Amino acid sequence: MKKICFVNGSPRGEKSCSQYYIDSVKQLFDIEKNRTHVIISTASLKKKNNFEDFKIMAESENIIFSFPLYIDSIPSHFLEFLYQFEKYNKVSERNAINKLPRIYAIINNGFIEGHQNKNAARIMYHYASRIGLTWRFAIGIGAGEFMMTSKKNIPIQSKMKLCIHEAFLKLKKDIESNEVLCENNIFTNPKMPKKLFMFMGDRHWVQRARKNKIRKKELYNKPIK
Amino acid sequence: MAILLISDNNHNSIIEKSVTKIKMLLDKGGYQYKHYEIANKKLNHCIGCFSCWLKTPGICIFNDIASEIAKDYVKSDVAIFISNIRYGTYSVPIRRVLDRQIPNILPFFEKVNNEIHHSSRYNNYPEFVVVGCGEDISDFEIETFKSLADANAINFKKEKAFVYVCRAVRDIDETVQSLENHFSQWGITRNEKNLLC
Ligand SMILES: Cc1cc2nc3c(=O)[nH]c(=O)nc-3n(C[C@H](O)[C@H](O)[C@H](O)COP(=O)(O)O)c2cc1C
Repeated sequence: MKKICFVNGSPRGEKSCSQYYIDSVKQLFDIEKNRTHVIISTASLKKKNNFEDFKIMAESENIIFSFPLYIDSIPSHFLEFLYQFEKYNKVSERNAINKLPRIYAIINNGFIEGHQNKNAARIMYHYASRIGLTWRFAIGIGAGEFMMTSKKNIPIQSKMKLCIHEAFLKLKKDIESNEVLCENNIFTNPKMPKKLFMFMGDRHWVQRARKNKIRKKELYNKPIK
Repeated sequence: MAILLISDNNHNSIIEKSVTKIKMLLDKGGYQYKHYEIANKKLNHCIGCFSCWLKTPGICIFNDIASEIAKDYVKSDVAIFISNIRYGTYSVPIRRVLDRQIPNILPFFEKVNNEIHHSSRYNNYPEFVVVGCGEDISDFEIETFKSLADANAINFKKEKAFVYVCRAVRDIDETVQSLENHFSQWGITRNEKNLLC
């Protein structure tokens, strides 16, 4: 039995692409044989005492941090959460000895190129090293808004998104094995031409703005004079 | 405004001395600048609602120092961020300010170096300058920090970032000197009128 703790690092909480990926990975595990837990970082930060959350994290064998890329890095509230966990972890001797939990990251970004998550993946590596836990690897996935809005119409196992599903399977295998199976970060994204992504993306923003009664022209406003 | 200085002076003596020395340079030279010290200030974090793109284009739903900074940002020629470096990234307050910059760009996409990024909302953006401080930073963390700052600069519509790292007090003078050497390249001139007063 493996103890797996997922941490959602999106400011959008449960209505996020980060959560969609947590759900996708979670369902790969046999719930009879493994114990999973999900912590939402925004909710945890609001608690007066979130030590309970940190205790669950520290006592897991694996932590999977799932968060969005914000300006090539980690969203500020989630960074704050990571600082707090570091502080908590310093007090926990058990972790210093066995270097558990093992740390994984699923990072999702808006632009199509999954490799734009490379700096954030390294930051998570530095984080794990600094707090003395075992770093495993990151999966960086592009086109987050597209992935989330198309999750019903284009399932994750469809040809276009299969590479993401396969990355999740690698993660699962790595967690289930006691060996080190995957050494490197995986950067991936749905397979589509960049031109099509740009066209669809631009149209997506215009359509969403229209729901707020904002015309396309107004999206270009320059309020700062 | 020529120079926008944003510091989070809440971590170590290197940051404190860097802020003091950079301000001395600016005061002495009569450079026009505005300084925001954001340590311990109330700053809302971006909640990812995209209102600044889709409801009130160009304006964040929060009204605090971070939105003031975002306004001043596009009116500046140079923006200098002074932060500690931890895990190869910025401090939490500086990260808050950076995340809250997205009203200044458009939701629409364009290609830069064959990668997709957002298009500019405004015609001009300041040079993106970062001074990263801290005694205990590994070489690898510095490499990450520089790579991160360059990526940030691209998202903030500049080709590259200017990054200075101060691991010890002795690095500060070199940083200040280099900043001054760059000012003319960035189109910043001494304000003789200010000098006279
Ligand atoms: C403040 C902010 C900064 C962002 N910065 C980046 C970025 O640097 N690169 C990128 O590809 N996407 C960026 N995005 C887009 C998000 O990563 C993308 O929308 C993601 O899918 C959101 O995931 P979530 O639903 O899990 O929060 C940014 C979004 C916001 C709100």
